[in-house]
Amino acid sequence: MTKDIASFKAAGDKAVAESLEKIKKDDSGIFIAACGDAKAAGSGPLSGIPIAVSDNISTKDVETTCGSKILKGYVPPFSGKAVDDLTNAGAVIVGKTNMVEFGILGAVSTKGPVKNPLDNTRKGGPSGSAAAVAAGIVPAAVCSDVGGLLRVSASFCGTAAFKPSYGAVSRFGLIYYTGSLDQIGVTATTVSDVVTVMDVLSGNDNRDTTSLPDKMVYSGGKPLSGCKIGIPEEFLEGVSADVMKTFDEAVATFEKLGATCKKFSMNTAKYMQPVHDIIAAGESSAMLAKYDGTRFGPRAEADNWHEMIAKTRALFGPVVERRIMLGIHLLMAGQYNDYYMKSMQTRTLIIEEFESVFKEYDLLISPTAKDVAPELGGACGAGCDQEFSSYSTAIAGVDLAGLPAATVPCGFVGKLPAGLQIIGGYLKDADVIAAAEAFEKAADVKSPEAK
Amino acid sequence: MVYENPDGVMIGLEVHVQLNKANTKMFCSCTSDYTDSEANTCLCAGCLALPGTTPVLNEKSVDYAIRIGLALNAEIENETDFFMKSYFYPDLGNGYQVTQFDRPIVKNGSVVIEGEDGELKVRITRAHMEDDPGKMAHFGTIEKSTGSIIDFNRSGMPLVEIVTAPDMRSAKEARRFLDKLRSILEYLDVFDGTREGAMKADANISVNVFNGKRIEGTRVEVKNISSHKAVEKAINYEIMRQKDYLRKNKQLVQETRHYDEDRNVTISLRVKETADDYRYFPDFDLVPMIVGDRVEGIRAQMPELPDAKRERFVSQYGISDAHAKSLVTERAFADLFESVAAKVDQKSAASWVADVVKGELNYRDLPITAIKGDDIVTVIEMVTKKEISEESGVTVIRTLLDDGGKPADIVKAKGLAMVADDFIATAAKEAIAESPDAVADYKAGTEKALNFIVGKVMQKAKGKADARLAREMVLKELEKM
Amino acid sequence: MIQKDETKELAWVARIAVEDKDIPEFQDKINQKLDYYTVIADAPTDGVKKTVNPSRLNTVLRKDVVVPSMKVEDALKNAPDVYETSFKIPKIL
Repeated sequence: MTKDIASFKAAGDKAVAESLEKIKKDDSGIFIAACGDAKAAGSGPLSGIPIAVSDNISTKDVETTCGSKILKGYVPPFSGKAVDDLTNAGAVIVGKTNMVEFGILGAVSTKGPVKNPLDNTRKGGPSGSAAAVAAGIVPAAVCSDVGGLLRVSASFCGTAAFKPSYGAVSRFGLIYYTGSLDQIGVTATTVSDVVTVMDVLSGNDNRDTTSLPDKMVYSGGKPLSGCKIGIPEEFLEGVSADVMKTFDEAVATFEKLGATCKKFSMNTAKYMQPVHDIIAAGESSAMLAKYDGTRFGPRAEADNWHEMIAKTRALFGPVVERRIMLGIHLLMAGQYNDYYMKSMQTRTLIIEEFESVFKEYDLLISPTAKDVAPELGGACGAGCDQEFSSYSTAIAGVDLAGLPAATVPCGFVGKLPAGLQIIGGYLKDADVIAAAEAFEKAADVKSPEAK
Repeated sequence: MVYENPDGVMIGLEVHVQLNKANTKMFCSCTSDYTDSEANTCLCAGCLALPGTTPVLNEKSVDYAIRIGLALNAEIENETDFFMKSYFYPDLGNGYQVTQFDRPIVKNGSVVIEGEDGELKVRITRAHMEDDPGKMAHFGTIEKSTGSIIDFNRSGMPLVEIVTAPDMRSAKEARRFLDKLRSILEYLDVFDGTREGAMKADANISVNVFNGKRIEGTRVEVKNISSHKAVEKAINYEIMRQKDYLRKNKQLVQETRHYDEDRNVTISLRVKETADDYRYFPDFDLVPMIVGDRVEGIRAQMPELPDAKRERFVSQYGISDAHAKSLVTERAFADLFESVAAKVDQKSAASWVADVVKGELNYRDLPITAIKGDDIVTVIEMVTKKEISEESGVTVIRTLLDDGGKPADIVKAKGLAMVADDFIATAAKEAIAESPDAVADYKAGTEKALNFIVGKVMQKAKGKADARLAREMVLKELEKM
Repeated sequence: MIQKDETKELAWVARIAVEDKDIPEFQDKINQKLDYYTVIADAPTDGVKKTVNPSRLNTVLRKDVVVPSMKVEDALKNAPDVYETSFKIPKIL
C-alpha cells in the first residue's frame, strides 16, 4: 500500500491531486486538514511531491491546531522553517496530520484517534504521520518527535522514521510543548526517502538558538561490519513476547551483517521516564501559558480577564490540564528542588552515562515500542495520563540526551508491524542512518499479506 | 558634619533601565524604536507570543549589560543564564517573563554619590537582564474600567534591572543616586532617558528608629516611580506614613504599595495574603551564555565616566570643581564645554557654558542641540574683546535660543555694540556734574558713593558700556577735581 | 501528595476552570504521578550540574540588526477582540 518518493514522482502532475483527493476522503483520523494545491509545486529535490506535516508545525494561512480545541480557528501569519524548507525544495504541503493534543502522549485529539491503515481496529499511533505514509497518501511526512510521537507511530504502522540529533532541524514555527525534548523528524517508506527529506530540513536557522551551526550530513556512516552494538537490558523490560521475538530476529540479522551485539545494564535507565515526565510537565506549564484567549484562539465569555482566561483554558483536554497543573506544582518553591532540580541533575547523569556507553558501543538498539499497535478504545481510549510509560524507556532516554534515533520495521505480529529502534551517539546521525539502511535491506521485512 | 539619620531610614532601589539604544529588542529582530508608532505595529510573532516562536538573544543587550556592570565597578559573571518567571497578566503574552535568577550577569558593584554628609558609597547588589512586557491601557481607571487594551510594541524590549543595597538614608540621597545613575547610563550610550518608560524605579523603604531607639523596621516596597521628581516625593510620603503609623501605634505590614503621582500618596496593592510564587525555572529555549573575552573588549572601549571627567576638567582646564560638576552631569554638556574651551579662555568657557547656557536651556526646557558651540565661542570672544558687555552677551545667548540667528546680527539689530571710550569720558564728566552730593560723600571717604556715579554713567550708555572702564573714567575725572 | 483544596488552588494558579466534581479525579491522577516520580529520589545527584537543554551550544547571539515588523493586520487577524489597532480584553480587576 505504501508508495515511495520515486513512485509519486512517476505519477507526475497527478501526484499532488491524488494525494489531496485521498486526504479529503480520509475517515481514519489520519489528517486534521488538507491544504495546498498542485500548482504550488516548485522545483527542487522534492518537486511536485506531496508531503504531510504534523498539525503542530505552523503553516501560513492554514489553520494550525495541534489537535486542540484551544487553537480552533488559529491561522498562523507565518510558516515554520520546516514548511519553508519543504516548499523551497519543490514539495507541496498537502495536509496537516492528526496528533494527540499538543503531542502530549495519552492526550486526545479533537479529531479522535488515528486508525491504523494496516488494521482499522487498531491505533495508528499518537500522530497520523506514519499512517499517512502507510496508507500511501504521501511518500513522507514530517512530524515533531517528543515522547515517540513520530517513532512510536512509525513502529505501529511499519514505516521508517528518523529523529536527528537535537538542533539538526530548526524548531522555528514548531508549536512544541516541551522545547528541550522535542525535535522534528521524518517518516517515509524507506530509510533512503527519510534521508532525502531530512536533508532538505537540516541546516542552521538563526531564529532558533538551539539550531546547530553546521548542516547535518547523513551519508558516510560507519558500516555494520565490525560495529559494536549495545542492548541496554532495561530497554527490554515489559516488552511483549511477540515483539521480543521480532527483536531477537533483528539481533540475528545485525550479527549476520558482521556486527557484534551485547546486552548490558544502564544505571540511569530507571530514571529516564520519570525525569522525562517531570521535565515535560514543568516545561509544558510555561509553554502552554500563552493560550489565554487574549491575542489569538477562541475566547470564553466572562466580564473579568482572569475568569475569562480560566474558562478559555478549560478548552484544553483533561490530560493536558493535569499536565499543566502538575508542572506548576513541581515548579513551586516547596517542590522545586526535590523534583525539577533533581530531574535536571539526573538528566546530566543520563547524558553522561550515554556518553560513556558510546565510548564502548557504536550503536544501541531496542524495540521502538513495547508492543504492537493497541486496540482503538482500549485502556487509553478516552485519554490517559500514564500512556507514555507504556512505550519505551529508550524513547525517553533518547529525548533527554538529544540523541539521533531511527526506527525501522523488524517483523510482524499477525498483520501488525513491530519497530526496531537504532540509537546513535550525539551527532552520530550518519552512523544511525547507515545501520538503519543496511538493516532494512538485509531484513527485508514484509507483512504476512505481502508474502 | 555627620548625618544623624534620626529616623534610621533605609532605602534600597530597584531601577529598571530600558536598553533602548540597541536597535532591536532582546530576543527578536524587531525595532526598539516604537515611540511614535501606532499600537501593535512594531512587533513580530515572538513579541505577540504567538505559538511556535523561538527566542535568540541580542548581542547588543549583553554588551550593554556588561558595559553597565563595568561602569558600576561590579563583577561580571562569566557563565550566566536565563530563567522563566511565570504569572498571568494580559500584557505578558507568554505567561512568563524571561529574566535572570541566581546568576545575574552583574553583581557586587557600587556607585559613589554626594550624600547628606559627604561622599556616600551605594552598594549595587546585582543587575540582571530581562525583557519588558507589553503595555496595557484601561477604559477609565484600573479600578472602574469596563475593559482594557494592549499594545505589544514594548513587548520584548531589553531591560537591565539594577538592585541596590538599602544604603540610602533620605529621599534626597535616593534622588541623587538616580540622577547619578542616569548620568552614567547616558555616558555609556546604552539608554535614551528622554523616551517614555526608559527608567522606572521601585523603592524599598523602612524606618528603623522610633523615639530615639533602634527598632526592627518594616520594609515596604513602593512601585511605579517613573520620574525623578516623583522619587523624592514618593519616598518622603512613605517615610512620613511609616513614622505616623509608629506614632499612632498602628501595625505596619511588609507590603507593596503603588505611588500615585497625581495625589502624591502611596496606595496598598495587596489583594491576597499569599505571596506570589513565580515558579522560576531555567529557560530551556536558550543556552548558557559565556561572557569570556567579551568583557575585556568592552572594557577597552569604555567611555570616560562623569567622576573621571570631573577630575580631569579641574586639573586640565583649571576650572572650579563646582563648574566641573555641573558640566559633567550630561555628557553633551561636557562635550560642548570642551569644544568651546578649545577656542577661548577655559575659565570663561566653563562659566558661560555651565552658568549661562545651561541655565537658559533649562529655563526654556530646550535640548542642548538648540545652541551651537561656535556661537557660544563668538559671544565669549566679543565679550573678551569688549565689543559687547557681559550683560549683552547673555542677551545674545537668549536671543539665539528664542529667535535664532547669528550673534553678530543680533548685536547689530539690538544695538548692543559697546559705546566709544570718549562717550564714556563725556558721560563721566556729566555724571559728576549732576551728582554733587555723591562727589562730596566720596571725597569724605564714602566709597559706596562711587557706585552711584558709575551707575549714572552706565545709564547714559544704556548698558552698552564696560562697567570697569566706566569706573576708571569716573575715578580719573574725580582725581582731577 | 496534594490535597483537594491544593488541587483547586492549582487549577486557579494554572488559570484552568476545573469543575468541582472533577477535582477528586484531578487530585487522584496528579498524586499518581507524584507517587511515580519518587523513583528519582535515589539518583546520586549531589554536586551534579543541571542540564537544561541537550544542546551542547553556548553563547548563541544575534546581531543587532532590525528586521521589518509584521503587518498590523497580520498581528491582529487572530485576535478575539480588537479596539482600533489594540487587543481588547475584559476588565482586569
